[in-house]
Amino acid sequence: MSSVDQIIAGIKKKIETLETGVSKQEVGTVVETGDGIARMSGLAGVQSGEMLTFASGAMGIALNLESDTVGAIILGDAAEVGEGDTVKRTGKVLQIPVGDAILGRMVDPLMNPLDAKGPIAADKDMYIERKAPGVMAREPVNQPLQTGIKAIDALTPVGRGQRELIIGDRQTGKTTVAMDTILAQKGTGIKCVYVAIGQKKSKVARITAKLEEAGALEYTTIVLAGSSESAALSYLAPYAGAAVAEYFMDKGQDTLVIYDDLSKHAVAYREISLLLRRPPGREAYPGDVFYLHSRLLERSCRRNEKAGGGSMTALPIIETQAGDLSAYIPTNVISITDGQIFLETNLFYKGIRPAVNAGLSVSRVGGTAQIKSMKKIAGKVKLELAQFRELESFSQFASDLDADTKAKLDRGARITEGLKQAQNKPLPASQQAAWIYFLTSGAADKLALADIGATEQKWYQYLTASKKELLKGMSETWDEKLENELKQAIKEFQQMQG
Amino acid sequence: MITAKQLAKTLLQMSEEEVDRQKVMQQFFAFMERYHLEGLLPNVAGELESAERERILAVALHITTAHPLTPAEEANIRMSIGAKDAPLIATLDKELFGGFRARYRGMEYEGSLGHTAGKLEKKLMEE
Repeated sequence: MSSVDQIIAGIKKKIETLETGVSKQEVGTVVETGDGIARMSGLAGVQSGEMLTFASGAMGIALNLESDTVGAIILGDAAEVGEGDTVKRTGKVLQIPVGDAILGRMVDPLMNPLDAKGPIAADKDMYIERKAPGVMAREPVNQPLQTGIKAIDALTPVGRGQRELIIGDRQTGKTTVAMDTILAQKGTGIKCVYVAIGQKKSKVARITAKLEEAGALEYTTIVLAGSSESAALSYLAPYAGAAVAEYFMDKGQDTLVIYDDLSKHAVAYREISLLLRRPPGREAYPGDVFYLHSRLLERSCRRNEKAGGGSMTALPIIETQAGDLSAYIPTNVISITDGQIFLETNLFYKGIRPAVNAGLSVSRVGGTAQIKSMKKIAGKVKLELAQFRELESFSQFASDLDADTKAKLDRGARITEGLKQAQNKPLPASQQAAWIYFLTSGAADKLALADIGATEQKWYQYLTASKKELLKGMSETWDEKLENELKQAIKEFQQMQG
Repeated sequence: MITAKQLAKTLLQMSEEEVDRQKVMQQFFAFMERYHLEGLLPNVAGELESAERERILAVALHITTAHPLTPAEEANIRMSIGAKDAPLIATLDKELFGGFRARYRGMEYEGSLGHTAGKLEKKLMEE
């Protein structure tokens, strides 16, 4: 048989096996469309959250199941959907293609590449919405996730599987804290996902460039729903980011997801809900705005070995207005998360950066998410800072202070100065612990405030050049021997400085 | 503010619930006079016509074919779908090549040659 005959035979065989006959499918008709929303008649059997296909090829998600119409959000170009168009059910809930190749890429919430680096090879499809792991599948959070920022790792430590909220007014350094955390994961094996919701594309471009420059992009995925995208994509973006992280968590790996920011996410959901004519509640948000964030953040956890291992740490970001922590969305998310890092505007403008308000910031996981050395050393700094805060306002009015009060104020000022850190310069945990010990031991008491920063850099240089073993020991454990070695190192350093 | 659409919808509902249509009409006109809404009557009539068109579309059998539909073909399709007495809306679309595509009560029945050819193309491309 010649090759042409073989081809013809193959095609004939295919035609014979082809199913002909009449196929049946449930369809609907678009009765109203506009603002990224479509309302359809028919589709009696459609399920909530089911994917729909419009005649133009655009996809949508059914969100409102009413008595005579179905309301859906349109993913893709809403201008292609018109009144009278046919809509078909797909019978499926939204899934996104994910694979190892997603690392180092910038994508939209539907996993379409945005970085002009070509298509992304996917290994499997992940549901965008997934049920959070149950209680029995979880393990307590007791492994540290280092942010590389002294003020955070010492005062409000974050553990793997924790949800730690970063909250503050505009331009207080929230995204910088998140970026530094991603940079600090280099070499740890933790996969990072940065979800940009309603952000300026210029800002995301700057972030991408910084990550690439620092070599952090190779373990990071950026999910972008920019400010010019539809509210539907902004609504889906955090769930898509969580699905990407879950792909790696299902392989037993540790992951970090940053949602920047959930305030814009709530606004996008409010927009969709109002267009779908859902009844508005407080501040015109729909009644299930709490559930919007709780079901997202509950997916972050540390799983036990039986459930597959791995963890997903979440750093959601919320923007407040005029420092109001008691507003609706901030209080919602504060009640969901395992702590918050509060960044204050007046601290920022005083030059205290990162502008962490140690009094209002908290980590509900606490010391169990710290290395042993930091846990012992940081306890003292928290106490000294608390005393400093109490005395600081008092000192502005009192003229004559007793020696003890003056000493506390001086120590507190030096600790505050010592906790300042330049952006995009994360520090290893052992170096942080060594520096904080330097501050709390009184070694910095005789230094001028202006010299604290320079002394800190020299201390790190000294330690990395001559005390590598000490740093290694501190990163693993803490005991009297190490403490004595550190005291000795401080003495030698001070002698070197003269 | 009461709109013509609301009035039309209410009138339709009342006429479905009440057997005596005359009584319903009298009540309706009395209401319109009492609240000086007679100016909306043309709009209400328009809304009622629109509602009736939508109702017919919803219960009609839409058949699309590549060639004009013969009575025998129509009867065949009606029998297979179960739309014996439904009003018919027939359209022509040469892209079907042959066979038919029908829509009735929210279901689409695809039996066109164009669709089958598309399935075959997809199957062959997968190979």
